[in-house]
Amino acid sequence: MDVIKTQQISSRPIEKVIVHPLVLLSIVDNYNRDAKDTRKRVAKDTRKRVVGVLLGTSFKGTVDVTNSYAVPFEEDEKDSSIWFLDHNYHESMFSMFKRINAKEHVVGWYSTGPKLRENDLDIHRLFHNYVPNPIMVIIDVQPKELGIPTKAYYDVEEFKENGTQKSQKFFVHVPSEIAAHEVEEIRMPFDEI
Amino acid sequence: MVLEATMICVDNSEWMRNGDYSPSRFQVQADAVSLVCGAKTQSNPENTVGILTMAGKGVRVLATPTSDLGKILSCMHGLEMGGEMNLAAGILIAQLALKHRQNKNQQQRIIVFAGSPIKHEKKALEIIGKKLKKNSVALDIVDFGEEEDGKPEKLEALLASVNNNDASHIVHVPPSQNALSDVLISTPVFTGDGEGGSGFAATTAAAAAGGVSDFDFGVDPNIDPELALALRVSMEEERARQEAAAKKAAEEASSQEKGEDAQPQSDSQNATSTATEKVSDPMDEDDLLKEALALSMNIPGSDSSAGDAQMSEASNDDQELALALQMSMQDGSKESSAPSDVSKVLGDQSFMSSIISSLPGVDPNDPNVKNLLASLPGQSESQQKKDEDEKPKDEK
Repeated sequence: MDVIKTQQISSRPIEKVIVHPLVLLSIVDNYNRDAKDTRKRVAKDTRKRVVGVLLGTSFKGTVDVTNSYAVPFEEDEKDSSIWFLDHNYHESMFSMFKRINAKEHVVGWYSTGPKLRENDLDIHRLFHNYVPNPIMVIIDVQPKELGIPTKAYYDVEEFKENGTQKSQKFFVHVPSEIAAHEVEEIRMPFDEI
Repeated sequence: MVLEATMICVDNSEWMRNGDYSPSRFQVQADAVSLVCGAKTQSNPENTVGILTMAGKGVRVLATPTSDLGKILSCMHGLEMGGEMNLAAGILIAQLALKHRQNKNQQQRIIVFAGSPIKHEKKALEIIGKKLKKNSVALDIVDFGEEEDGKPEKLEALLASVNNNDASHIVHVPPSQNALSDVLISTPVFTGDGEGGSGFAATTAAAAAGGVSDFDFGVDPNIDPELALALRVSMEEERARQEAAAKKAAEEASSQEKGEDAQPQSDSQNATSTATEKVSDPMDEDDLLKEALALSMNIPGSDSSAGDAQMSEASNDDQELALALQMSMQDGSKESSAPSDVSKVLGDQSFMSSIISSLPGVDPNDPNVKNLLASLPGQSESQQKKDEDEKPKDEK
């Protein structure tokens, strides 16, 4: 895939993530349709979440997220190591998206959180197959405070100096902002979400 | 032809390197997997199959349920062995994958290849089993490879907790010369699908193996169940007939000598057409007897009432004849014994000629009667020849 090659050539550590309003809108809409009304049998923090793929472009350390779609995702509420993400669905979907906009490629994935979970690192590892440096964005669909509802991360591998332990991966936060092209400038009142 | 979505859990742990199944456990497992995939997709075009690996770095879904056989087979290619199998996680993730099947009408099924030791506790497996049962997922377990104390018990416990109306099965395959796929063909893992799927599986296995088949008559009941059934029934009928023949041995001694000469020709065709003959024989012999009786009475179109009248008349003359006629009049329920007795009656030429001569209005020299007589012994003599063959064997 030549897309990945060009990314590798110009691969700089990610410094900024720009999320477009269209992405936020579709994610919130997805969440409302799919996971909002799941009964709170478990603790509030662990309600059912929506997971999807982020599409966009990456240029000189800045990732521009312009499009997204949800993917079928299941996880076991009690055992976080049991999860299933339909990657065949993702591959078919992406190939269709590519036909309409060849510039957009996979830049990472999103979750409605609202917080990071234990299996996020494993899911992130899956996305390394599609993009060398994926980003993970948590979209807060029910924000309580003012501020942008996105939190972006990418993962970093830390090697122990004495080399005895297996390398561990960590999520590192990256500043994100909401920006739009002129045509996308619709008002997004966060308190109405 | 059940509409099913299947997830196959493949064991690609270090234990699969072992060569006690030739060429290696992993290879035979891969063959078995491709066979199962083929069988499932053939039995119903809408069936979907998915694959996941349980060992390696962790449980990984290689293919979500799809009906594209090529994709599934390519997933199996280039798999690496390593790590330890995580049975519980594998089954649970398979269940999640099935939850997301596109066609909700499909039945859910998981097939697990358990080749390495199971580190889970029996209790944990039973809980998983109950969860599967709650979600109406059927489970097939193939227990092969590593034989560990308690492994069969654990797997049986798992099966018991999942099993709902016998939809789930377990197969224990010890190391042997036969390939895993050959052994699996004869099990409910395949035959649960129905005829079509197992037909595919059987033909490919027959092509591959080409050697000893474990089935009677050299016919795989899965390929052609009707033929296998017919052959089995004819064997049983033959045995019953031989027992009756042993009783009437002395009486038929004279007719057998005559029978032997005309024998060899009909013998070969009899061997091959036994199956088809069996079905038609009772009918033919009954009909022929009725025809003979009708002919003797010059009544066109034999009538059972005429036959009965004939019987009562004949009984006065000849007790043996009456016995034979009675037996021939019996229908379906005693089909196996009737042809044997009727054939005995017809085969005994001296007996036949005595019947014909005793019946009024029949001229033994009549060409029609002669033709009839000639055709009848042809069938029954072949059976007598077989009786003769069996008797020397019995005497030995």
